Amino acid sequence: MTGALSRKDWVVSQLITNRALSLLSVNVAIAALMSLVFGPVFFSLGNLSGILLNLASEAILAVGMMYLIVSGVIDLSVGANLALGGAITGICLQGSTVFGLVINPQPVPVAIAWGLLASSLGGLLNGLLVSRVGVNALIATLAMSKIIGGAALYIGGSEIANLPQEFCVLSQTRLFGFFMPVYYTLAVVLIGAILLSRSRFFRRCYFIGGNMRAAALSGIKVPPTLTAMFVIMGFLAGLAGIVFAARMGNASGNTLPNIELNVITAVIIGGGSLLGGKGNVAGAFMGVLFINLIKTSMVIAGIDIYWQPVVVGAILVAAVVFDVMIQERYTVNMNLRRMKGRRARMAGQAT
Amino acid sequence: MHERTQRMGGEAGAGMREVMRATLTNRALSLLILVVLISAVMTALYPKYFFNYYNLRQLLFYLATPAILSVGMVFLIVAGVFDLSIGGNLAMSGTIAAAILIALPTFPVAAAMLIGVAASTLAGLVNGLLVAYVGVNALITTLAMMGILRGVAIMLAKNPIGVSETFASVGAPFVLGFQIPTYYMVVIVLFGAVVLARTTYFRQLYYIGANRRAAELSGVDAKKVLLTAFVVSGFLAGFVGIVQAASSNAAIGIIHEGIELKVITAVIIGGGSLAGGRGTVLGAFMGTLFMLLVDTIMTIASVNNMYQPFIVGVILVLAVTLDVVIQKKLGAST
Repeated sequence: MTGALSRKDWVVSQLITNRALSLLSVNVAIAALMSLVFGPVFFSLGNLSGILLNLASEAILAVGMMYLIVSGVIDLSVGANLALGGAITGICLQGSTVFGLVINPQPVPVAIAWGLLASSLGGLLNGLLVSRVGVNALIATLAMSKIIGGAALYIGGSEIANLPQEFCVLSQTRLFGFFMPVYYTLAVVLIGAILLSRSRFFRRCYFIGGNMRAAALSGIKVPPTLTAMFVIMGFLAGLAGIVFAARMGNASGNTLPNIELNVITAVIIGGGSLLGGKGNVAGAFMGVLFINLIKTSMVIAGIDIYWQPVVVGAILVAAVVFDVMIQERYTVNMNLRRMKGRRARMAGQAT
Repeated sequence: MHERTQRMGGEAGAGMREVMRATLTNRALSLLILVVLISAVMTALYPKYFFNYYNLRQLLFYLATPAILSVGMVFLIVAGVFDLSIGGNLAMSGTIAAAILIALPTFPVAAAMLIGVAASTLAGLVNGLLVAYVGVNALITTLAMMGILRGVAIMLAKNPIGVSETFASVGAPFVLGFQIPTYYMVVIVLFGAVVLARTTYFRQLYYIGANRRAAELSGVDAKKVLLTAFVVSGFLAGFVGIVQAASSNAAIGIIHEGIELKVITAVIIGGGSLAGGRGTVLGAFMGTLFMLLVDTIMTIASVNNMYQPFIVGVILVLAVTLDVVIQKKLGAST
C-alpha cells in the first residue's frame, strides 16, 4: 500500500494518521523546548520520575477506557470504581465492620484480591446493564458511578489512614530511580497494547465499535465481548485504586474525583473516537503523557494552575477539530489517490 | 349503540390497558402520579416537616436552577446531542457580571448582567458551531468547553465576589411568598414547553434526533436548528448564572460543579433518550422535580449522608432499566 508513496509523503501520512507517533513527536518537542528554557529544573531524572508517577492512575485507566471507546461505549464510573478498589483493600488490610459484618485484618495479597474483585464486579454490573439490558452506556455508568461511589464512600469514609507498611512498599519502593507504580503502568500499557492489536478476542472491539449490527451478524457475540471489556475496565480501575492507595499510605471513599473525564479527554486526544472503531493503546498512553507534560510544564513555567482546565480544554477542541477537518479529509484524498492509481494500473494491464 | 354497550364489557380490560399504556408512555404523567404518591406518603409520615409552606418554598426555589437548565438540555437531547458545559457556563456568566462591577463600580448593573448572559450565549454558539457545522462529537466539544468555561469562572472568582443590592434584586426578593427564581422557572418551563411542542422550527429537533440524515433529505436545515438549540442552552445557562449570583448574594467560581450530569439524568428520567427523538419539556421538569424530591426526602427522613449517593444511584439504575424494559415491551406489542 505504501509502496505507491514517496518517502516524504509517507512521513506526512504517518504524522497525520498515526496519532501515537504524532503525539510522541509533540511530546518530544515539548520536552526539548522545556529542557532548553528551564534546564535542569525540567530536564532531570527526578522530574521525569515525578511525571511518570503522577500519570500512573490515568494511564492505567486509559487502557481500559480505550478498549471501551474503540467498542463505541464509555465508562463514567471509573473514578468511583477506583475509589472502591482502594477502599475495599484498605478495610481488608485494617479490619472493620461493614453492615454489621466483622472483617478481620487480611494478609496483603488477599486484601488486594478483594479490592480487585469488588471493582471488577462494578465493571460487570456496568457491562450487564449496557450489553444485556440495553441501557445507554453514558447513563448506565453515570448511574452506576453513584452506586459504586456511594458504596466506596460508605466503606472508605473520608479516610482509611495508616495502611500497613508491607502493603505500602508495593508502591513506595524505588527501582532504578523510578517508583514501582511507573513499572506497573508500563506493564499494563504494554500488555494492553499487545492484546488490543494482536489478540483476536480484543480485536473484536474494532468490529463492534465500527458497526455493532454488522459485527453481530457476522457471528461476533457482542454482549459477552462488551461485558468482558467493562469487567476489564473495572479490574484496571481497582488496580489503579490499589496502587494509588499504597502510594499514599491511605485510602478514601472519594480519591481522584473527576478522573474519568481526564481519562476520556486523554483517550480522545490520543486518537480514540466516541463513534467507536478507532484508536489504539499507544495513542491513549501518549495522550495521557501529553496532558501531564503540558500540566507539569505550566507549573514549572509558573502559570496559575487555574489555567490548566482552560488549556486542556482548548487542546481537546483543537485535537478533535484536527481529526474532523484534516485527518478525515486527508484519508479520503489518499483513498481517492489509491483508487486512481489502482484504476490506472488495471487500465495498463488491460492494454 | 346497543352493540357498543354489549361490547363494553369485553372492552373494559382493553380500556384499562389503554389507560395503563398512556400512563406508561406519557412520562410527565407517570412521574406526576409518582410525585403525588410520594408526597402523600411523606405527608402521612412527617406531617410536621414535609407538607408546609416553608418546605414547599425552599423546594421550588432549589428546583429553579436545574429546572431552567433542563429546558435547554431537553431541546438538545431531543436532537440527539447534549451539553456538558452548562455548569461552567452559568458560573462564568455570574462571575463575569460580578467581576465587571468590582473592576468598574460605576458600570450599570443591568449592562454587566447582559454582558454575562451574552458571554454564555456566545459559548453556546461556539458549542453549536463545533458540533453542528464542524461535526465534532457533542460530548467532546462540550466537555472541552466545560473545562474552558469553568477555568475562566474560577480565575475570575477564586473567592466568592459579593454583589450589590441592585444586583441581588433580580434573584433574592420574595414575591407573594415565593422567591423570584421560582417565577422565572414557571415562565421559562411553560414557554419552553410550548415552543418545543408547538412551533414548526423547534419541532424539527425531533426529526433531527430521530434520523438526522432523513431530516436533512426532507429539507430540514439540521445545522441551523442544532446551532439554535445550543445557543438556547447557553443563554439559559447564562441567565441562571446571573439569577444564582443574585439570589445567593455572591458570584462563585466553583458554583454548581457537576450540575450538568444531574440535569441530563433528570431529562432522561423525564422520558428523554440519549439516542435522540424522544423527550418533552414537561417530562424533563417532572424528572427534575422527582430527583429533587428524592434528595429532600432523604434529608427529611435523616438518611445518613453516606448512603444518599448510593440510594440515588439505585433509583437511577432502576429507572433507566425500567424504561428500557417498558420501551421494548411496547415496541414488541405494536
